[in-house]
Amino acid sequence: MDVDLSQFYQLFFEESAEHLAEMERILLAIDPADPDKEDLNAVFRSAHSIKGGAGTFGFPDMTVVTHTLETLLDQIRRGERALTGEMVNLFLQGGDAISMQLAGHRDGLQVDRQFIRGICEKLEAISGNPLVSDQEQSSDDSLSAEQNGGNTFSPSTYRIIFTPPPNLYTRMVRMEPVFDELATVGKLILTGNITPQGEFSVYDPTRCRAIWEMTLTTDRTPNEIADVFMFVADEEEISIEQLPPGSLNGGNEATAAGGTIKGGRSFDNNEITPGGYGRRGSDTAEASSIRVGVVKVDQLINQMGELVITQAMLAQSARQLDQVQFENLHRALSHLERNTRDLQESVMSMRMVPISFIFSRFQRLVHDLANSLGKVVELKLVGESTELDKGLIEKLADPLTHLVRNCVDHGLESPETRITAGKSPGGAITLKASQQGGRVLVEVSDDGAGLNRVRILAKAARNGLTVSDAMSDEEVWRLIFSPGFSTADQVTDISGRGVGMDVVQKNVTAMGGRVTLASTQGKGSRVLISLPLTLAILDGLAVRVGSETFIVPLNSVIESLQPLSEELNEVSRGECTVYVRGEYIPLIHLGDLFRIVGAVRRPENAIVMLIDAEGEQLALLVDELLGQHQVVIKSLETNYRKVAGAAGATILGDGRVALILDAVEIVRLWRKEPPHEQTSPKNGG
Amino acid sequence: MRRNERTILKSEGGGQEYLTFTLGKEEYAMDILKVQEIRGYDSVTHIANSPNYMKGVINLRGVIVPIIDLRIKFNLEQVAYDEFTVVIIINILDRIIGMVVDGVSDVVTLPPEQIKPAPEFGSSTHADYITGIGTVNRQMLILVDIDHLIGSEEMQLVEMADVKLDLAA
Repeated sequence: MDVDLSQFYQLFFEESAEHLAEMERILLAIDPADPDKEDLNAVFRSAHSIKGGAGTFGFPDMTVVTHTLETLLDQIRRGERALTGEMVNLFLQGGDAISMQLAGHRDGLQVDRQFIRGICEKLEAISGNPLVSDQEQSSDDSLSAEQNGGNTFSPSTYRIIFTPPPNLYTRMVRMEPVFDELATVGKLILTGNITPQGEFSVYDPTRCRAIWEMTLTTDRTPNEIADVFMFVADEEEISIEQLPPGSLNGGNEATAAGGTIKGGRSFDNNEITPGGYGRRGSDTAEASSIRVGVVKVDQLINQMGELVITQAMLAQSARQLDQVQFENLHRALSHLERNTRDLQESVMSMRMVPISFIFSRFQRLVHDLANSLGKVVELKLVGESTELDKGLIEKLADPLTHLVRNCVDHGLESPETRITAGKSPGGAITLKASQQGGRVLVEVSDDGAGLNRVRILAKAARNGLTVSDAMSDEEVWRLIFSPGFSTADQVTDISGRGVGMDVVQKNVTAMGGRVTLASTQGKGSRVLISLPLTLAILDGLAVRVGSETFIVPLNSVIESLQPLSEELNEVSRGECTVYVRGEYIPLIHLGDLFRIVGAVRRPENAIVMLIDAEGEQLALLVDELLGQHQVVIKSLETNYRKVAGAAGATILGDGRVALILDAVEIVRLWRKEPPHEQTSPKNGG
Repeated sequence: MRRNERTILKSEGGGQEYLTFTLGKEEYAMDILKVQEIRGYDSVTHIANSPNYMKGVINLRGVIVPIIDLRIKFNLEQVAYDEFTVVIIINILDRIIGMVVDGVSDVVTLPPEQIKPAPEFGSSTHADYITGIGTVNRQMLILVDIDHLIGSEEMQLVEMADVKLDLAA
């Protein structure tokens, strides 16, 4: 009964990656002078779980590293050795080594064996005697300890039969630690039944032919006993039955000595600490969650979108039916609408992930970078629980890494410079996330030197960009985002920001986000990324222009009004402003911009919609407001390409496609286009 | 039964199956494996500032699909939209795209020896996308390389990397 373990590899990789992340998180937070016992235990448990998995799945190289880690950790958590900062660093590097091995097994990436061996040696050097663990109980002793009768106060006696698969040993599984563990929780009688098969000459010592029968008297529950076996056996290979009291002397005893087969293992004794195996962390928080592939969630979201559209179609058709005659139908439909909306909310929430998911990794990045640059940096995380679509979170990781790296590398000054400037020697970087309406704002700020206007201008001029001293600060900062500013030598040159800021901008724009930058000389700088909450759904206002329908995102709509002719002022040919509460707001004819035949020409006969485009107020001229809808955003890029002025498209209740407008893009499009002449008003209204 | 014959033919003679369609008076043929479905022409949502042959986008069971009119692209004189107008939905380059044609005629199998190289068309713009000329029952078929046609820069259907940057500037 060979079990194909490869199907579980993925799970093991994922879990190990999580354990590693957990280890790292704790290690970074730990205070070497006064470590929390629970933290140490948690780190130990993570290392231990990885080791167990690696052993089970046959990755002996990982077992070796985790084992050396674990040995030292064990000594520390037992209080036999004091934790030092050096050890924490070593543990972190050990975690890196395991990650590397993990990546090696998973993706076939190159593993730096030299690095790994170096870490193991350092760890072993500290733990002193890496090969023999102090608390080791001689396994032979406990195995041969035949104890008669369950005469202690322990409540129950169990018979445990373990029928291992023949490939038990080739899976790198060792049984001794399991038996050790059982022996520590109660009185154990162990019998190994070996069924010889075939001639001795063809006997294969690497195949396990033993069936172990154990009688255990303990106060543990059967589940806890089964847990001991968790790394070595499948559930169906273990049978645990409770024996009636007093039945123990029934003649089940057999000599245990020799009951275990020690031959045929393909790695040596040094790699596993007896007693460490099979123990498991007591926290079971993960039991309340379930691992689902992103593809499945995405599929669910897509289907949800279809359902919303179908529901809208139904509602639209039913509107033509008589309210009284079809009262039941109408009531049922309104229920359907509510249920659909609830369902939609639940489905969407599945994709939402707290931003701490990526924020947390920066602790390590900053820690390492600051160490290597000889700077003192404190990273503050604010608003980590802000939730964001998982797809966005993943795409945000790269730009944020860039920005944080920039902060540490170029933004913050060295401790000496800071003291000279009258600041505290330690710099601070703040990562802050918050939700504002339908958008999430992510802010990366530092209290460093800020951007140097003069140098940026000089650099830009040398790069052939058109600059002038009269440019406002904002315009100067924007120069940094131009592609010319992005190579490494230029950065040392201007000793400011600029490493791949164009890349940051590009990535963020691709996500439907925007980057803005603020800086004060000597006080620090701040990069603000504004992102849509999710890529999948949007509250919008449907408007009609000519025969076309558009969706304007509700969060960019300020108000809608019907202008009076005296409020309209022609500025130049084709350019018009509308006067609203003391302000002249430029008017954009959507019909002209999108070349729609039959759009209302005269603003007095149409609707003016005030929109907010990144703080700038503009007025859009549309024919009619159709109503507010929650729309599912569909990508135009999937099968077509980006459409200027549109953030995407959606499917309306009647099955037609409508473009979703992007206020900022509309303004950009409008600025780029000269107001073109309309030969004659098509629709004077 | 015909299906079976064809399969056998294909395996023996190495012939490929083509979907033939008409544009004006000409008969064209394209690789049938790229065809997802054939449907009638529905109203489309127009996309502003796009080339004239780009009719707009439709909702194909929840997916937004662009529709191009090959008749306009190939400069045919008569372009009418009626109940006989047909859209071939093709699946190429990981995209789903609809092509308006005058009609869909048949599925034919063309062994390689029945395909002749395309003659030089001079300056005609769409000559680049013609891979050869096939003959079935003495009728000429123009073989179109649909990937090349749709994926071409000139078509502006597939976004080129720098187009995006241009917009952002």
